Amino acid sequence: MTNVHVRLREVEKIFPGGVEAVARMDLDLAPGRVTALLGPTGCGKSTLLRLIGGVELPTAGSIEIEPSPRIGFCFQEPRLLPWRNVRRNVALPLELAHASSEICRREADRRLKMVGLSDAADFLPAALSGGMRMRAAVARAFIADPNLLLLDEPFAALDEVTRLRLDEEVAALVREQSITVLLVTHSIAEAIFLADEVMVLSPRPARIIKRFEIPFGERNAALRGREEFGRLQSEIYEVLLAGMGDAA
Amino acid sequence: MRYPRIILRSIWPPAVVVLILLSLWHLAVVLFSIPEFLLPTPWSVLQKMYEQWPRLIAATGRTATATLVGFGLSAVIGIVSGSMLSLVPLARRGVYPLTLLLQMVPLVAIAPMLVIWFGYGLPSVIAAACIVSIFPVIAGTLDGLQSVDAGLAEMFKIHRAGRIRTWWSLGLPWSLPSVFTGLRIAAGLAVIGAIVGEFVGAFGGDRAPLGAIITSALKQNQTSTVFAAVALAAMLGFALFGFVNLVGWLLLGRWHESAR
Amino acid sequence: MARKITLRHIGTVLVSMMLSSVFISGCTDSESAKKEAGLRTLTVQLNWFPEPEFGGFYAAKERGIFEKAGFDIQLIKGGADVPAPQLVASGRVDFAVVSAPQLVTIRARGGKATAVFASFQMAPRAVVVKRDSPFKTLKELWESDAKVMAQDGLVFIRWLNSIYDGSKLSFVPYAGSNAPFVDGKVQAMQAFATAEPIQLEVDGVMSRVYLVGATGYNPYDGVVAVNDVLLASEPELVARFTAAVRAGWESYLADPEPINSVIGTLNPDLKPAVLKLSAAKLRGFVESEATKSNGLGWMTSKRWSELLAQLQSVDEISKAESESIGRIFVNPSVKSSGGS
Repeated sequence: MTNVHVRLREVEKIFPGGVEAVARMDLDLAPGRVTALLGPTGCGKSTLLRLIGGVELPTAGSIEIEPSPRIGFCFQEPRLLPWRNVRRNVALPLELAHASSEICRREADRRLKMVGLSDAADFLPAALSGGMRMRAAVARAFIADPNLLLLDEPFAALDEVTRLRLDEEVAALVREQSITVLLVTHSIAEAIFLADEVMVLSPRPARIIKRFEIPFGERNAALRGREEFGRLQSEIYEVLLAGMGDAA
Repeated sequence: MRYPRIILRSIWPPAVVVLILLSLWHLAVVLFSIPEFLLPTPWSVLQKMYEQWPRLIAATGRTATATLVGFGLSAVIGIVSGSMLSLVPLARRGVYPLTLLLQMVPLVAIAPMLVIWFGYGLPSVIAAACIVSIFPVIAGTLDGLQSVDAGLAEMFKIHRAGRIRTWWSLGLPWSLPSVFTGLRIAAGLAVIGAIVGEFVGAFGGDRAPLGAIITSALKQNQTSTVFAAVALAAMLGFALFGFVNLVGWLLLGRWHESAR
Repeated sequence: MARKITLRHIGTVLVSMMLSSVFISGCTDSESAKKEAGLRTLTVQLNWFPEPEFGGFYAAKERGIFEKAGFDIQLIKGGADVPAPQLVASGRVDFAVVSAPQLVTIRARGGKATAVFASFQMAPRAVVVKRDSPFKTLKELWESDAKVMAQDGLVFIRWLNSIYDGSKLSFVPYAGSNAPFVDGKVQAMQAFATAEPIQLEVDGVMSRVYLVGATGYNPYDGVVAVNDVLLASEPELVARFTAAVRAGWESYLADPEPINSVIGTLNPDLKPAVLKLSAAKLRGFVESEATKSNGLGWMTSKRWSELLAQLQSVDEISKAESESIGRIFVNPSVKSSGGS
C-alpha cells in the first residue's frame, strides 16, 4: 500500500456565524503512521479531521493529499442503519460504490472476521452491545481498504474495558497494514497508546502547542503498565493543561 | 402458538364495550319509543343485514374495490410526491402549502366535478378516495425524509452517494414509520372518500356500492338499511386499517418500536 | 370632578338606551307586528328546489292568503337530498311536501305524518329521452343497457322494474343538474313532466316524455303532509291551512306570472320562459274529476289503497306494514262558523 501524505497549509475554517474553528493551521500527517490530535473540547480538532476527510471545505488555505486517498471514517456514534444487519451495514461503502453483491458479502465477512464479529453478521444493530456496534463501524471503515483512516473519538462513548480492548485491536490492525491514521481524542492514554506522534492543541482556534514523538514499539496491554508510559502521560498532561491555562 | 391467546386478550375488552353500547342503544329506542325511521334498534339493523346480505356484501365488495385502488394510488403517488418534494427544496416550499389545499377542499363540493372529469362509476369514486386520503401520506413521507438522522446522512455524503441513492437506501427506510402513520390515517379517509364519491357518482340499482345503497335507502326511509350499510363501511375501514398495521409490522417490526 | 363624570355617564347610558330601543324595535318590527296581528308561525318544508310545482304555496304566501288565514308561513326550500318526509314525521317542521309513496313508507316505519292535500292529482313523474333517441317506447328504454340519471330509491323505478326487464339498465345519481343528459353521458333521466322537459326545451334540447302514470302507477304527488301531533292537537288550524293552500293554488293557476317572478328570484337557474311554460302545463296535472267537485288537492281512499297494493307488489312495504299504517290521509274541512 502506498503511503498517503497529508499536508495542510494556512488552513482556515470560519463557520457561518463567525465561529473561527481553525486559524492558519499548518499540519503534516506522517505517512503510514498514526498521528493523534489531543486537545480540549471545542478546540477544533474534529473540524480538522472533517476538513481532511473532505466533509467540510476550508474557507482559506490548502489541503494536499497525495496520492488520491481511499478514506475510512469512524465517528463517535457507530452510525449503523437500523434496518440492515451487521454484514450489510459493513458492506455499505462498497455497495454505494456499486460493487457486486458477491464482492460486498465476501469483503464484509472478511472484515467482520477481522474485528471478531463473524457470529453477529446476521444480527440487526439493535441486538448488539455498544462495543459490538463500534466494532462493526470499525469493520466498515476498513472495508474499502483505506490508506487514510480518520478516527473521530471513536470509542469515547464506550465503557472503559471495551475501549481499552478496541484500542488494542485497532492498534494492531493499522500497524499490520501501515495506514496513515489521524486519531482525534480526548484521552491522553489512548493517544499515547495508539499514536506514533501526538500533537497537543490549544483551545479554539487550535494551534499546535507541542509535538510528542511516541517511541514505543509494540502496542499491547502490557504497555500501559510501563513507567515510561506513565511519565509521558504526565508530561503531556502538563502541556495540555498549560495550553488551556494560557488561553484563560 | 401464543398468538391466539394474544389476539383473544386484545379483542375481548372492546367487544364487551361494543356489546354494552349496543344494549344501551336498544334500551334507548325502547324506552323513548323512538320510531324506526329515526333510529332502528340494533336488532332490526342486524335483521336487515341478514335479509339483504347478498346485496349488501356485493355492495361492500364494490366499495372495497374503489377504496383499495384509491388508497393504493394514494400511497404510491403520496410517497413519490412526498419524496420528490423533499429532493427539490424549492418545489417543497412552493408546492407543499398547495397540497394542504387538497386536504381543505370539501370533497362534497368537488365530487360532482370528479364525475365530470372521470365519469360515472369506479373512476370517479377511486379519484374521490385518492384525493381525500393522499395528504397524510405526503405529509408523513415528507416529515420522515426531512428528519433523517444527520449523522447517517453525512455518512452517505462521505461515501459519495447520489441523492436518489441516498433517498432509496437511507431516506425511504428511515421514513417508513412516519409514512405508515400517514397510511393509517389515509386508510380511514379512503373509505370516507369512496362513500362520498359514491353519493354523487356511483351506479345504482344492482350495481350499487354502499354509498348508493345509503342514498337510496334514505329515500325509501329504510333507516335500518342505512345503518347496516354504514356498519359495513366502518368494518371496511377497520379492515383496511388493520391491513396497513399488519404490513407496517412486517416491514418495521424487527427494527422499530412503533410497529410492535 | 366626580359630579361631572356622573352626569356624563348618565347621559351616555340614556342615549345608548334610546338608540338601542330604536334599533331593536326596528329589527323586530315585522315580527312584533305579526305577533300583534296574532299570526301563527308555521314551517313548511318543500321537497325540491323552488319551482312552479310549488306555485300554489308561493302564491298563497305572496298574495297574503296565508296571512289572511292567520299564518306566518316559512317556506323552506328543498333539494335533491333533503329528507322532507323524515323532517315532518319527526316534528322538525310542521308541514312538508312529499310524494305519496314516501309518506306510506315513513308511516310503515313508525313515522307519524298524515296527508291533507295532494297538489298533483296526476303523477307528473316521467322519464325523458332526447327526441332523436333510438328508444321509441319506455319499455324499449327500460330493457336496454342505457344509463338513466335518477334517484335510485324512488319507487317508480321499482315499479318499472316490476313490469319491464331492467336487468341491463344502469342508474346514476340525479342531483338536480341536467348537464349529464344534455352532454349525452346518460341516455335518459328522471323528470317531472311539468319541469325538466321544459327546461331542456328552452335550453335547446328537444325531448320525449314518457309518463310513468301511463303504465298504471299513478300515485298522488306534491302531497302536503302534516305532523300527526299537530293534526291531533289543532285540527282546525290544519283545516284552515289546507284551505289556504287550496286558495293559493287556485290563485296561482288563475294568474301565475307575478308568482313566477318570485320563484325566478328564488331559483335563478330557471329562465322566465321555463317558468311560463311550466305553469301552463301544471293545470293538466293539478286538476281532475275529483277536484272539480271537491276543490283542488282532494284525495280519495281508492287512490291510496291502490297505492298501498302497488307498493306491496314491488316489495316496498310488507303486508304487515301496510296493515299497520293507520289513517294515511284526511281531507280537512273548515267548519264555516262565525269567528275564528
